[in-house]
Formats: sequence, structure tokens, C-alpha cells
Amino acid sequence: MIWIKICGITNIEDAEIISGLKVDSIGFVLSTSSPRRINLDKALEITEVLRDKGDKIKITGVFVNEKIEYVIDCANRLDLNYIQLSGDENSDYVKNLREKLIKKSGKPEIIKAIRIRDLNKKNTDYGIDNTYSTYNYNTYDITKALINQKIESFKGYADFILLDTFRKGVYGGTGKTFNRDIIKNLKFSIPIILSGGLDSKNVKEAIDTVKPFGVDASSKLEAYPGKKDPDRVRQFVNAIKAEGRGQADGSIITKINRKESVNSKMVAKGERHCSGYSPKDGYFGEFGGMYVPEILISALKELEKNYLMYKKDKSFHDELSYYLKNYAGRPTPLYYAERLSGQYGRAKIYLKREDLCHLGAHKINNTIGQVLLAKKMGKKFVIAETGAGQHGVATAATAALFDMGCKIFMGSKDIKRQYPNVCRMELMGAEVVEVTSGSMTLKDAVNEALRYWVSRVDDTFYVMGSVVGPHPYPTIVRDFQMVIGKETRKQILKTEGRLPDYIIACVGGGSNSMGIFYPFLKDYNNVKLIGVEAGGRGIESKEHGASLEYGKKGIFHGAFSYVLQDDYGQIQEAHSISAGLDYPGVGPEHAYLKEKGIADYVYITDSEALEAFRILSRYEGIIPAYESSHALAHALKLAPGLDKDKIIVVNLSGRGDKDIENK
Amino acid sequence: MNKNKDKNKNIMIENSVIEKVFEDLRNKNQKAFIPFITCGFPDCDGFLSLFEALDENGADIIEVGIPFSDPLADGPVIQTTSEIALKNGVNTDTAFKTIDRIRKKSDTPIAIMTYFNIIYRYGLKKFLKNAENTGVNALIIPDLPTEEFDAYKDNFNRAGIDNIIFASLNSSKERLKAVTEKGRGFLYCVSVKGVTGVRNDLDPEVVKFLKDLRRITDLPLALGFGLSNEEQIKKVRDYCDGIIMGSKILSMILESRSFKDGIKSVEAFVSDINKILK
Repeated sequence: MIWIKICGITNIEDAEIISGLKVDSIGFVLSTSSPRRINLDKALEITEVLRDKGDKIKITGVFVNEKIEYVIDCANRLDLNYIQLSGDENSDYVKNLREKLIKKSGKPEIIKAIRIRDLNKKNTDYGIDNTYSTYNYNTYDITKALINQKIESFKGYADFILLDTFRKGVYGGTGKTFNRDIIKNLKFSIPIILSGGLDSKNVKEAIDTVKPFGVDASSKLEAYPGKKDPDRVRQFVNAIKAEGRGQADGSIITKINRKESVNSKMVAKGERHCSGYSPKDGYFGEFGGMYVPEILISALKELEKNYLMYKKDKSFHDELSYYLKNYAGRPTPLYYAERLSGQYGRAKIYLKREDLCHLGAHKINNTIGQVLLAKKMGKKFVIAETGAGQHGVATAATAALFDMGCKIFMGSKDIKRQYPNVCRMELMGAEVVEVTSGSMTLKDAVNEALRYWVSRVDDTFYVMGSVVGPHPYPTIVRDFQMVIGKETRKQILKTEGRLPDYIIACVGGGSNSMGIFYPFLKDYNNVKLIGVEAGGRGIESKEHGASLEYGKKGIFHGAFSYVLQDDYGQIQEAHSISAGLDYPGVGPEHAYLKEKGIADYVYITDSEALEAFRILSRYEGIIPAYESSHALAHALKLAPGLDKDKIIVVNLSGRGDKDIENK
Repeated sequence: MNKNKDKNKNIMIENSVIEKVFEDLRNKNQKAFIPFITCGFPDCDGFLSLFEALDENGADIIEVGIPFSDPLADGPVIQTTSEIALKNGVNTDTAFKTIDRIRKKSDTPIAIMTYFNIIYRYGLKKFLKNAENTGVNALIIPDLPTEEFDAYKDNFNRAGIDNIIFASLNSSKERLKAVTEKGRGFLYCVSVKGVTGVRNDLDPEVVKFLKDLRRITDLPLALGFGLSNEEQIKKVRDYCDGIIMGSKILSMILESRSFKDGIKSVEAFVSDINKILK
């Protein structure tokens, strides 16, 4: 398959249409002097919209004679997959950039553009680039030699060469073709991306002539400068896909094949991934949905509408960031647990210290987001369910902060085993409602909170504590928890210069794991994502909370996901030493990640978790929550079998002070 | 097996059995009485007696609940009866067997009310087939809003089973229009902002809600959730085509000294209500 990039994207609409056509990459022109120039903020906004929808399309940043620092800054902030250098950058520049990238993040691949010049059409004289403009070449052979020489100079530094048309003072986007015959059957030592005035009519012939690795188009697909014409783009892509199998030959065939196979594998997986994310709003593949009574539909739609609006609102984000930083204490450290690592083989174990968040768990990330949203929506009261009490405490605190009435629903079994948290909630002004129905744990607290919400839906906001429940909750909670993964990514790149090999997090409903996984989903081929469920007293005992591993598909708490249930669909009680994992359902997005093989899920028993709880306390002086102890226990199982240079990140989602009494 | 099934087949093309019930009542300016009871409550035989008592005292359609462990649209009474029924060992198979037994004696239309996980786990096709075979006329699934129902609509149509759609007090007119277009049998109009359960008053918006609905749809309007006394019924009688009562009836059984006493008070209460409706 021919790799396709569409360049010069300046708006969200174009980006979404192009992405929907399964194009490999879109390009942002981040340097001045082009009508398709886009500023960094706008590019960020478009990227975020795409990424938030789970879109994995590769992003290319196009630069013309920019300072290396600016290129790297853009690459980091946009998380670029490709950097395209379309100016007069020489091989030293590219080499220099490459070295700096490896230090910083190692990821973006470099595309160097070379412009082919039509010196004299009448005499069919050709040259390349302005570097050679003083020469007069009149045979193809000399030109070919020069082109090859130029390409050769970038070998080892650039991953791809983009061939474009030369026009004085204009770098790319000329809309003009060059005479492709001059490079016909040329053997290149670096994969070629063909550009320059390509459209649906000429692209097939161009591919046949040059047999490139990929193609790139921009201005010829526009309705007017800066706005793509959807029909032209579609016809262009269709023309290539219909043609499709252009095979390169010669010396670089192995390299191209390697590239192609890696690329097509990524695309194949990526496609499934993307199509699962948004065939229909609110679904992750078949999972998710809004299985709730009619009376809640309006409320959920109102919530969705407001969320989508505030998600794009800069002042909302500023306010959220302010409180995350100054109230919740973010960013939390990514700590290298050296002493612990030393005891368990040679891999490095890092701990993402969510236990250092205000109130001692990651839950505050989400409650600040949701309560702020509630406030903006004009709601007067917030309600929430809680299991371990951590989400209840976080909601109570946030409600106090934003001056909202607050009711927390908690099963009487959990009230007993997490009593200190009940006191904390009440101290902060929340009313704790004891739930005595069913198993008297988290699942019944959710039922009761939903029942209450149905009766007070006009003035009350339900602050969902995990990535469960009806749409849009799984998405909202994941988005607010995503800060964990975003920080982790930055921190590990800074300290280790590369991504980790494993990310391990516990899964009850799955908010801390979804939060740390999400920014790494696109790297799942390199970064193994492992969710750890509660094995309770052992799977054989049937007293566990491993919904993903041992549950069946079903509808629970408003969403289609995996559920612990009997043959007739009655929900079964979960069991775990940790109240936060004692839940028979699991977030629909996890169900999707499991089904697609993007993340792996395992379980850890009560006693294994307890052991990890003691070990971390003893070796590092950090007392982890029972929930997080599950993730840690799996890391300790895994580490001894790993090579020296492997990196494991464990999401230490909460601190264990609440669990000490139960030890 | 019974005449209901024959009736079912003949009428399905035009009006469903349930729509026919409302049509007949409308011609006589009468309203439907639709009680709800939980299958397996207070026990399997007690359920049959309760069904019979309601059938004989003028129930036009009877809602039979298949209990679910996590009934989130239900208040404390139906939570309790569901829990009791589950402890009595009721499951989807025994529920169909029970309905099959009822059908040998009665052809009063039956609507099964249950949560979607019960149906999904049993298998929607198998569930609908069994429902059709035992002479069930409609399904009421409180956690399957029209958004989700769309994916399964064809299965319902093939089986000739009405899926009863809910209308909510807080829905916009646009939403009500969209929702009612997908309804069959009758429209389940929810009279409260809340879950099922006994309430003494009536939300002042209910009459306006019914009037609005009347302009929007031709579907029969059955009002339910929170209805428990004659006062309420009198207020709404002229604006709807039927009323649904569950928690009140079940609580009379729960609160009585003996099951026999309970049945007696239910019979007396139901015939009083029916006097208003007929």
C-alpha cells in the first residue's frame, strides 16, 4: 500500500474528514510564508480533538529553515510522528536535529524535502534545488546523479526523502508538478515520498513512474487556499487505493518492505482501534452506551453537550489546571524506586505517585473536573457513590471548595471498613447516605445514587467516580484522569529518554488505569499496558473482582461491558480486600482494550496484594493503598524475569493510610 | 393452547393485542387498569393466586416482573419483592414456565417487565421466541431507551412483541415526538421524576404532560410510577387511557398479616380503582 500524507491542514473539519479516509498522516505547516500556515496553538487544538476521539492518525510538522529548538519544541508539544524539513536545511542540520531528538524523545521520524527544478522547459534542462541553480544541466543523467548525491548526503539522518517541485522562494505547496521522467526507475537509498502538484488525475501515473514509498498532496486538493475540498481529497485517496500496489524496486526494496510491513501492521491495528473509538458516540466498539431509564437520557445529553462545549473552552482548562496545580498538588512525581527495584531483579521500577495528590489518591483529578463542570452548568448539588471512600472524600472536598451541597452514597459494609473516610467526608460538610440494599457495597451505592439522581436531576450533578456508567461518563472521567498518563509520558522521557516497557495499574472500575494508559495507547506495540484486577480469595473460590477475566458481557450500571453475573444475568457480588476493586463491573473502554488486545489484564489475590503492601512500606517507606498494591504486586512478579534495561511504571494510585487498620 | 395466541396472529398485522385492548376500552369510554406484580413473589404459588385475583377483578393487562438483582428504576418495594423472588429461586426459565401455566387458564394480555441484562444474558432471540410461544404480548425494559432499542427493533417486530416505550416528565417535546414514533402497544408515561414506589400526591405537571402527549401521539397513554390512591386516579382519568400500579399492590401484600388477608385487601382496592376507570 502507498503511504499517504495530506499536507497544509488548517482546520478541524478538514482534519476529521481526512482522518476518516484512512490517510496515514496529516501535515501542519508550522513555518511562515505559506497560505496554509497554522500557528502552534491551533495545531494543538486540532490534534487534541483528534486524539480525544481516539484518532491515531500520524501528525507531521512541516518546517522551513527554522531554528532546531523551535522544531523540537513543536515536536514535543504536538507529539509529532514526523518532522518534515522543507527548507534549505543541509545534512548537518538534519544530523544535529536527529541527535537532539534522540536525547529528548527519540520518536519523530524525519522527512527531508528536496525540490526538483525545471531549469528550462523548452530545452528540457533540469536541475535540483537552488543549491545547484548556477549549473546548467542538460542531460537527465547528470541530474539523476545530483539528485542521488543529494539524497545520499542525508542517509542515516533522514528517514524519508520528499521530492517536491522547485519554485523560487516557495517551499512546498506550489501546486506544480515536476517532470517525473527524470527520476523514473531511479534507485534511491532512502524511501521516497512523492509530492508536487499531485491530484486524483495524475497520482496513478506518478506512482507508476516513480514507485515511491508514499505520496503527499496539498494545494491541489483545496477548495481555496487553506481549505480542503472534501470531494477532491476523497477522489485523490480513492485513486491511490484503487491503484494501491505500487511496488518499489532496486536497492531500497528491503528497507521499504520493512517500512511497509511495520507501517501496514500499525495501520491495520490502528484502524481497528480508531473505528472502535467512534463509530457512534458513546461506544468503544460494541461496549459502552446509555442503558438507563428514559428520565436520565435528557440529563446525560445535557451533560454531554456541556462537556463538549467546556472541553474546548480555554478558561475552563485554565481554571482546571489552576486547581490541579495549586489545590491537588500536580504534577505528582514519577519516582524511581531504586531500593525496591534492587530487590527484584534488574529492571527499573518507577512509581507514579498519585498517592501524593491532595487527599491521597488520584480521585481528586476527576472530581475537580466534574464539580467545576457542575458549577458551570448551574447545578447546586453534587452527589457521588463511593466504595473505598476515596472518591467520596474527593467529591466532598471539591464540593466544599466550590460551595456546593454534597451527598455521598456508601454501602454500609464499606462504611464499616473505611470508617476514617466517612469522618473526613462529614468533616468537609458532606452528608453520607448509608446504603443497605443488595450487597451493601459499591455496586449498591451506585444504584442508590442513580435512583436519587433520577429524582433530583434538574439541580443535581452526579459525579461519577470511575470510567463506568452510561455515556458520557466513561469518556469524561478518562479525560480528567488522562493527566496521569500525560505527566508520566513527559517525566519518563525526561529521565530515561524513552518510553517505558510496561505500565501497570489496578482496575476496579478502571479510572486510574485508563488515565495512565490513554496517552500511551498509540504506543501499545512498544509499551505493554497491564491492568490488574482483584483476584480476591482466588479465582477458584469465585470470590474475586476480576470482571474482565472472568465476567461475561452484559449491561450493568448503564453500560455494556464485562460483568460478574450468573447464567441468568443476575449480578454477582465481587470480593476484594480492597474496597476500591470490590466491583462486579468494569469500564467499557477497558473491555474494548482487552478485546482488541491493546492492553492485557491479569489478577492479583488478596494475599499477594497484602504482601506487596508490606514490601513497599518496608523498602521505600511508602505505604500504598490496597488497590495500588495489586498493581505493585504484579510488577514484583514480573520484574525478576526482565532484562537490565527494562523500565516498569506502576501507577501508585493512592496511599494506604486508610487500610492500615485492616492489615 | 389458548385463544390469545390465535388472536395474536390475526391481529398483529394491524393492531397488536395490547392496542386492541385500548381500542375496545376507548370505544366504551373506559380506561385500562394495568397492575404490576413480581414473578415469584411472595412465592411461586402465591404469585399465581395474586395474578388470578387481579385477573378476576378487572385487570386489562398484567405486568409480570422478572426480578433483577440491581433494579435501578425501582424503589424500595419492588427492590424488596425482587429480592424475595430471587431467593425463591425464580429465574428467566421458571418465569416463562409460570406464564405458560397462566396461559392455560387466562388470555389476559401479559407484558413482561425486566431489565435488559436479563434479556441479553438469556439471548434476545431465545427470550423473544419463548415470550411469543408462551403468549407474552409486550416487553417493558426500563433501561433500554430508544437509542439502544433501535439496534434490536427488528427482532421485536419479527416476534410480534410490542416493546413498550417510556415517556418522561422532563423530556422536551422534540424528544417526546421522536420517542413516541418508535412506540407500540401503549406509551408508558412516567408520572414522577423518580423511581417506582408509593406516593400520595401527584406531580402538578402530570396533567399538562398527558395533554401534550395526546397532541403528539396516537398511542394509548398509560400512566405509572407512584400511583397509589383514588384521588390521584380521579385527577388523571380523563387525560390518559390507562393506569399502571405496582408498588402499592405489592406493599399491600408485604404489609398484611397473612397472604390471605393481603389478597383480600388487594381485591377490594383493585375493584375500587376499577370503578373509577370503567
